[in-house]
Amino acid sequence: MSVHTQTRSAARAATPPPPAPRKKVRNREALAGILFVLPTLVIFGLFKFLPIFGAGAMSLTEYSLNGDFEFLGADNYVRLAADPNFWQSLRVTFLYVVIFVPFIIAVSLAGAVLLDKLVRYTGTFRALLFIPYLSSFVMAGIIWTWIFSTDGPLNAALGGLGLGPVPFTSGPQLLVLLSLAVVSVWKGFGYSMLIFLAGLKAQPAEVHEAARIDGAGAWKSFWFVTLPLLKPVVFFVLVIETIVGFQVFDTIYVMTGGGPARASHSLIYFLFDEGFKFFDFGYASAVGVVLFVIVLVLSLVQQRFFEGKDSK
Amino acid sequence: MFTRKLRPPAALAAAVVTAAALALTACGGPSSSSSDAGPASGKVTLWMYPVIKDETASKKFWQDTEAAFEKANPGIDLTIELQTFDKRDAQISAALAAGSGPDVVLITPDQAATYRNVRGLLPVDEAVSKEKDSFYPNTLDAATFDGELFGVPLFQNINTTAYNTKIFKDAGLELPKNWDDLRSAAPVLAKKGIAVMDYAGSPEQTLNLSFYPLLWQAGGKVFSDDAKDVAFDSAEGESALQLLVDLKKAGGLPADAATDGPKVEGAPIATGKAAMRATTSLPELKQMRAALGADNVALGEPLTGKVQATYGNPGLLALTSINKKENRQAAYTVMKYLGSAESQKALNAAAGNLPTREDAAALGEDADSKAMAAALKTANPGESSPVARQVMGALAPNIQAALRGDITPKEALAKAATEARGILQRAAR
Repeated sequence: MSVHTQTRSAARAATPPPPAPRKKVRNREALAGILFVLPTLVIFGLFKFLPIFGAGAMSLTEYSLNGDFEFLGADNYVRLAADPNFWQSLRVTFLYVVIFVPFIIAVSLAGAVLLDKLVRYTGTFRALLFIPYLSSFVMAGIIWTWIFSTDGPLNAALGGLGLGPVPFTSGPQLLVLLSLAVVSVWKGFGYSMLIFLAGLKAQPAEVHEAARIDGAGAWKSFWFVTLPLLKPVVFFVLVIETIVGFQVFDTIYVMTGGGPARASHSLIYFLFDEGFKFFDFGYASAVGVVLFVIVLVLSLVQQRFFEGKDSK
Repeated sequence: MFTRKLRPPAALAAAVVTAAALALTACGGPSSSSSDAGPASGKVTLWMYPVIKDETASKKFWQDTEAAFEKANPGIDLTIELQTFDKRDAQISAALAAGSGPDVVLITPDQAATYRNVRGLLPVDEAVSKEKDSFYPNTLDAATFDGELFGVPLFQNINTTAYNTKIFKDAGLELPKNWDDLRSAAPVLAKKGIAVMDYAGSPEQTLNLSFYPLLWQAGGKVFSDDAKDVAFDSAEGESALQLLVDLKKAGGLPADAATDGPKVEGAPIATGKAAMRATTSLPELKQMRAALGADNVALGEPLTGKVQATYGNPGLLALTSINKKENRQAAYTVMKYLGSAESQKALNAAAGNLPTREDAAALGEDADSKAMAAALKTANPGESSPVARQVMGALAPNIQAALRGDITPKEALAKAATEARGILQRAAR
């Protein structure tokens, strides 16, 4: 017995103890996880992070089409700060985001709630409401340009009521931005609607049942039960749509060309003009970096705001 | 199957280009190599645009041209890629910046000035060195910067006034020939809900086809003679913009003129809501006739303000900075081939443009061709400046603001001039 014990002790002293089976499994799982995530990480790094750093580096230079560049330091940023067209575009973008984001959240949430209530043909209606999201921005822009034009069907209908013609895309700035937001919301609400719908479907039925038993009506149940439970989804959609709002371009390009009189000249449109129309790639990159920082800061602020509300 | 779809003009164009190609092969003219050191070889990519408006005819024409060129120049692999005019600058600049764009690209003189300024182009004197005297001097001048040629003129695109004659006849009005005629016709037609003149004020529209012809008609200029300053904020510029503002107030421009684009299809001129267009090319004339009826549309001379003027630019084949040295002679051979008299005749027959060479036959003897040939005499190829496009970017929104009545023409031009001078100062550094 003692011999056996001694032998075991000697063996233990000679070789390190084998890892516990659970740790081994955990390491293997971690490795598998890394391997699964690796392709996405590589693609994300190559096509997202690398361009961000590339744009940051380019924003410090004057870059020519033949690849030559001259280091300028912060000159492009100094020029940006003094450029009235940049500030005008920033104002336009903020104004557009303020109109667009609540608008698209309200429409997509309403669509999701309606779909959630449907008991028949849910798939058909879901597909129908998602169709605009699948259409091309250019096609949507051309069709809506016609709808909004002075001779278009909307003004014809308003004319029938003794109103108009309303200069939807050539009138005052607020009207132009609202018209553009209508098109973007029509085109894009299907995506957020599906995210909201998934959030609604995941809510526990017993909570709603309890609210009903407690005497809560449809509105109270939505306001005090559904919406608070949906908060993480609302945050996600808010961040996504804010980013989409800041990056608005296609609708403007097709419908107004940034006009009239720069009324819809958004930040991305400003970047496009400087980079791809005037070939000032360094300056355009500086605009891109500023936009990146704005969106990043806003996303962090939104996250803090929602976390703060949750912790209360 | 492809041939069956061809319309008569397209088939004729194809026949002409094939005949031209065969003739070139037989003569060994422009198809032979341009280098004395032996036949050029290599790969050349050319970006071509819808110079021939009919898409099917355009595809067929350039496919045949590519095949004919390669047959005549077996060592050169030519790829002609058809692009659209939409986002043209963006496509070209992005491709060149990525080093994956075309060796040769079709551009306008003001684009050539801008691309050259950002080192996106290479000189092409060698491509036309032996035939320079055959080209109309004005077409070469438009592509020459600091004594070097930056584009082989391929064709001339001329624009002149096109009228919906039925509208004027029904209203008992003469066809407007000058600004005074425009001003008097505007209120008469406005009562019938028709704008006397179509106008595309979208910032995406080149001002060469909208405001600049009026500026030139007023006797003004975009840039000073040494191109170091802008000159549009002059009394002439103000009178040109005042004309637009007056017409807008009198109902003489379409309601959406400040934001309308240049397309004919669906535009007020094609729907009978506008009576004339001041800058119309032959392909656009065809579109107008298709929409309004052939008998109801006629071409006239360019409008006259203080002077008569219009826009007519040569289309240039330019050599981009990504063209490699080993393919340089091959690229010159392509440019020489396409710029030859025979190729120009074939292209102009298919596209309805004017030649850039004296030895390439001009358009026919019909009324349209004669009107275009006449307009050529007063055609301005656009004022070349390395910042021509940026200055347009500064001017266009302010013209829109004046058209909307937000600011006066004088204020609009002064505001645009301040911005444009900043652009010029930066470019001079």
